[in-house]
Amino acid sequence: MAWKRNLPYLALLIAILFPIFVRDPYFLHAAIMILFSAYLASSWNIIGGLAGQHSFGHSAFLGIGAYSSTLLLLYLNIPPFLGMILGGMIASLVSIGIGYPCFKLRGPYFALSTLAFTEIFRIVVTTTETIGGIDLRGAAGILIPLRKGNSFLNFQFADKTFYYYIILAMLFLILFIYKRMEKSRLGIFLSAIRDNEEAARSLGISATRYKMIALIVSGFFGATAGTFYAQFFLYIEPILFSSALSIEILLVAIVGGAGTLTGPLIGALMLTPVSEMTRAYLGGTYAGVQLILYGAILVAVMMFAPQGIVPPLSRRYRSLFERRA
Amino acid sequence: MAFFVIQGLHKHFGGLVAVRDFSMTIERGEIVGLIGPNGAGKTTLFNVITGFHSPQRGQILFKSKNLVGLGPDKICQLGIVRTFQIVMPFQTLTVLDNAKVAAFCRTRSNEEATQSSMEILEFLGLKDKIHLPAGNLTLSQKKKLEMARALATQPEVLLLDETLAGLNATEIEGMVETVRKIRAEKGVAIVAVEHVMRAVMKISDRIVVMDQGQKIAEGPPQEVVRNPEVIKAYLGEEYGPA
Repeated sequence: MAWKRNLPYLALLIAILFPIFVRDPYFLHAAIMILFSAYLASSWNIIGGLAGQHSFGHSAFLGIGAYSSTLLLLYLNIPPFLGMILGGMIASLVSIGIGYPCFKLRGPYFALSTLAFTEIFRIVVTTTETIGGIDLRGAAGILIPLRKGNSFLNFQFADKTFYYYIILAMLFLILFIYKRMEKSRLGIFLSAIRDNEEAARSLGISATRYKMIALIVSGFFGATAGTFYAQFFLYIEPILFSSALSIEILLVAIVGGAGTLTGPLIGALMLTPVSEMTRAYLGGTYAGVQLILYGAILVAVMMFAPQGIVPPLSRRYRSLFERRA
Repeated sequence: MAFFVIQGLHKHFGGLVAVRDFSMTIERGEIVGLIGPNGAGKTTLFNVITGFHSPQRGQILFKSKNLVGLGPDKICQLGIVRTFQIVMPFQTLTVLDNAKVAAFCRTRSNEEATQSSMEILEFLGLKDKIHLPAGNLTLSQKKKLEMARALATQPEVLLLDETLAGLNATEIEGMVETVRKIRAEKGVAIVAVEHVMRAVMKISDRIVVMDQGQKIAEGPPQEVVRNPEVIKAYLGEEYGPA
């Protein structure tokens, strides 16, 4: 029993020590991308997993976060760490605007309406060169000027290890929040809405209200991922708003296990290396290969673990331990 | 002040009239059996009372407050709760958490919700199942859970939609006892839609009969079953009044 209880700490220890032993910048980059996907998918997991509302519009929050903090930095000289919080708040406000009409719909109709929203954002940003004196630069995207050295004020680091620890801390924070939320009154309400919205409403739960709260929280954290992305790549473009990216985010969570704490992390560990490796080894030559592999993994998961990888795993381990006890 | 009054309720879906000028009253702590052939409009009536459908005409007055236009969550908070004909447990939640969802209707405190849920689950004999996922229960246990959840919201009016359907004779006996106990110990007024006549006759203080959306008879159980209109509705024209 003991080693199982300590498993999360062991994983955390490995994660903390990883950059000390692995000095190869390529692997460090890949590790950062895995943690980034896990973080992003975890933010989706609040509305998509816990509340069971499969939003196809999560990239809208990513884009809003990236553009908000970048524009605040370029025009008002607001440090990106502060811009990250402000971007999160902006995304939360936008999520109310998205949620209000979309929550009138259920299931696939809800999914499609959120997909439409993020596509609207993508098209507007792609075609807008300048708005009210602010250069969005349309399809060309925005470059964030490079600063020298490692600076938390600028959220720019020559040493990638900094980014690694920042995203690790962010992931740890969101998993902590998710865990707290799951067992709270709000979390139980959201699970009830996910399992059966009709029954939940008949027991006094205002479904719209609690789904909205989940979307606001989910949008906030999705936007903070956008700021991290912007400061890591120092370049943002309208493709951040694309529905294709939304689908990648929710695939990570669903393959791992939507509505489970560790699902997004497991999903990211499986899928992100695939996309990173195909990008590294095949480059631009076989552009579709990544999607073929994604598709194959998705089909396998749907056939053998329709709830995602985590639920059957945790069941197996639980029964293993019960038998020994 | 009347406790619960339905006046001239009317609900149609397109050309189909499901509830037609329906009126009835319920007294505090009363058990009313609501019977009628399939398609008589019983479940629609429940859906309208609990705010899942809004009626085209009519009023539903609970302690003088009109419920028409309120959502299901508001109506539940006022003290009227229903169970579903097709059981709707929260599959992935444990039995305890299922009850807690409902208990949180009255309290924000986790301890209070847990405590009142435990009491109700014990009351309904589900105490040893509390840590099971609700999806793993048998049908009769799921029906009890459905009832436990409804009671956890501390209602004044409980609407039971075919709680006995699909249960075997022993389970029906147990459930009838449970319904009686609920009224006796919680003082809740109960409206029960039922097809199991023997059970309805046994538990109801009063029976209301619906046919084609209308109330065709009302009265004590023994009287109602001899009513020619009722016999006609159930058995057809040739058995009706000559």
